[in-house]
Amino acid sequence: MILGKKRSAKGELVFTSFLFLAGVVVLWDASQLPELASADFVGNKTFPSIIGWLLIVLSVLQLISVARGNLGEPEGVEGGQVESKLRLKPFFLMISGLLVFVFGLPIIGFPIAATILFTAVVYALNPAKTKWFIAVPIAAATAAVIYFGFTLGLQIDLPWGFDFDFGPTEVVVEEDW
Amino acid sequence: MDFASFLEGFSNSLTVTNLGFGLLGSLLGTLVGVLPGIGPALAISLLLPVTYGLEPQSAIIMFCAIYYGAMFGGSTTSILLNAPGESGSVMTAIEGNKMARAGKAGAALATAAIGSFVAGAIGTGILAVAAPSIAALGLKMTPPDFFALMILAFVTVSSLMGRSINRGLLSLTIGLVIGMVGIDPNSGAARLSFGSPDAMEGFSTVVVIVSLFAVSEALYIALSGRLESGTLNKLVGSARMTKQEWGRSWKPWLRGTAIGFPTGVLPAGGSELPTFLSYTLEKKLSKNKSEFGNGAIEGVAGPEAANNANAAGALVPLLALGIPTSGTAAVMLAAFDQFRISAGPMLFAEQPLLVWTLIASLFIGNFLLLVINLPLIKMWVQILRVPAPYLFAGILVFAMVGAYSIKNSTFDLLVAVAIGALGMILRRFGYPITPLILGAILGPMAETQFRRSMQLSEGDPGIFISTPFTIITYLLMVVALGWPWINKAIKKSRVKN
Repeated sequence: MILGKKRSAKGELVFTSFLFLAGVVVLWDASQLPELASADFVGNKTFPSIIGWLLIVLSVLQLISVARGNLGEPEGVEGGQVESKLRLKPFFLMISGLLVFVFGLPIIGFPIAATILFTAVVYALNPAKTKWFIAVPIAAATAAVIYFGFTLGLQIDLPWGFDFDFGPTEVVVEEDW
Repeated sequence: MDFASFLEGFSNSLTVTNLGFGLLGSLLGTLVGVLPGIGPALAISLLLPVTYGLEPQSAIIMFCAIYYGAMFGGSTTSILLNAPGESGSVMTAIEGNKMARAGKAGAALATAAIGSFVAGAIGTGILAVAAPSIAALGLKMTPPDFFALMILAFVTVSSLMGRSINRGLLSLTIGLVIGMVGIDPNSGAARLSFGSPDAMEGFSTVVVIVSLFAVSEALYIALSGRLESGTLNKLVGSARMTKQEWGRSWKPWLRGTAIGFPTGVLPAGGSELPTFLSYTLEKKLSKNKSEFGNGAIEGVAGPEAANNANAAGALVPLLALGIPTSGTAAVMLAAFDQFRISAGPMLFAEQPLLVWTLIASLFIGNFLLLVINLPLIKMWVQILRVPAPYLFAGILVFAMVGAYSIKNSTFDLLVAVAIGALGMILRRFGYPITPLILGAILGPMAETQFRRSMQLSEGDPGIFISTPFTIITYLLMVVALGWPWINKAIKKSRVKN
């Protein structure tokens, strides 16, 4: 239990430090903005600089608070429970499903990418009881319904995939002709 | 209240198209209220890309019906499954589920539905009377007044949501940073884009919302949650109340409405606070205190009325001033924006037919919800039998399609995954999500008012406290920020005495 708390404190310190760095990046970005040529009472940099400083000050306060032991309480799960132990396998399975969807969508198309994502989510949320011969057909059917609903019903284009463009076809002209 | 305009709106809301969208919204709203993992804010955001081609009036009627419907539907899962379908129904679960276990599920469902109807009707009535007057007042407000109001919304929502003010404010600031990404409309300079042409277009509101609700919740459950199927309590007979139960319910309905409506108007962040206040009040006033915790009908009637009145109350500042006071209201503001309609003081002058049709549709939708909910409860119960992992998978796929379909861009999908992962970390460390959404949506508007104020004063920051309205607003903000300490001091002095 104490080990779990220590890990959580470390994680929160890392995250809050990241927020501090984000504040520095916002300030740096604001400093790079060009000033307006026309007469203006508010410079381009004013608002982003205020937000940058706000992020820095609040994250420093939060770092102090976390270092003093005021750890955040994880949010509850609707229709379930929060577990203290992190489950990395299901998490990476879901992230993989999402990344396959993001990068695979233009190549393998929506129906296959969505089927993979759906199956990955079902497995990630219930690894023990999921049976592939039930999950995959339901995933494929859902993907098909969404695909045809969007493309035919709402006229919103979704990629079918496997639309490889090999560049312009080379025309060979025979000189003898 | 402009009665002639209201009548015109009423006749317009009775067209087949508008009635159809009202009914569809009511059904969808009840569905999202019943289902875990999807609330009204996410449902409306998911529907934003697919409603581009619709008439603005029809789409907005549907969105408002979803908002009301979710408050109706949330009680069903709370009572029958002890799993609130949305945050405003958490208090209902305490007494409602105990009533269901004691074989009184029908009475609990009936008091929840009728209480929601009563509160919705009263709330919409007050909205119809109050909103035009507030909008007229809004026309006299200056940019510093609007800026002060937005700052008040930011600070109160951040301090009231979650357990730590600092976490709430940090979440808000992250939202403000997200809202800043892209080309600055005032100067044309690219902010936080790092040379990426996609980032220069800014992050779409739909992408931000679906990633924060759908993607982050699914990732969070995969990493540190466990879904449970729960025990579904049986509903014997129909949803009805005895004469005695009617007698015990009507006062809590009215008290719940009295608490829910004003807390909706004020930036209190949603329906958690009013439902909690209503439950506490009913417990204090009850003659049968021992029944509380074991299935007291007042503990269902009050909070259910409070959450519906709260939804009606939230529409007052949204329509009259263009200021959202909860996550769902912020998404509604984005919906108005999608149709190039500016919610706020000019709405009543520029789009009277739209706004009065909307208000009339709320009355009709509220009635439809009562009519379709009680007889259809057994159907909603059947939906609860769908295993939760399949529901989450469907929601996530639909959310990703929604994010993609806005610009047909994989960049938006990457942003959705990145913001989803950020949302997951925020949930893990107890940061509230609503302030972030408010910051991302309202932040750019606050910046515009900030610039206008500074232009007016020729660079003098004193303008921000130049009117009585701004001074009162900032004083209220200080009270909201200092409330935990003020409350502690009061309690200490009471203990001493």
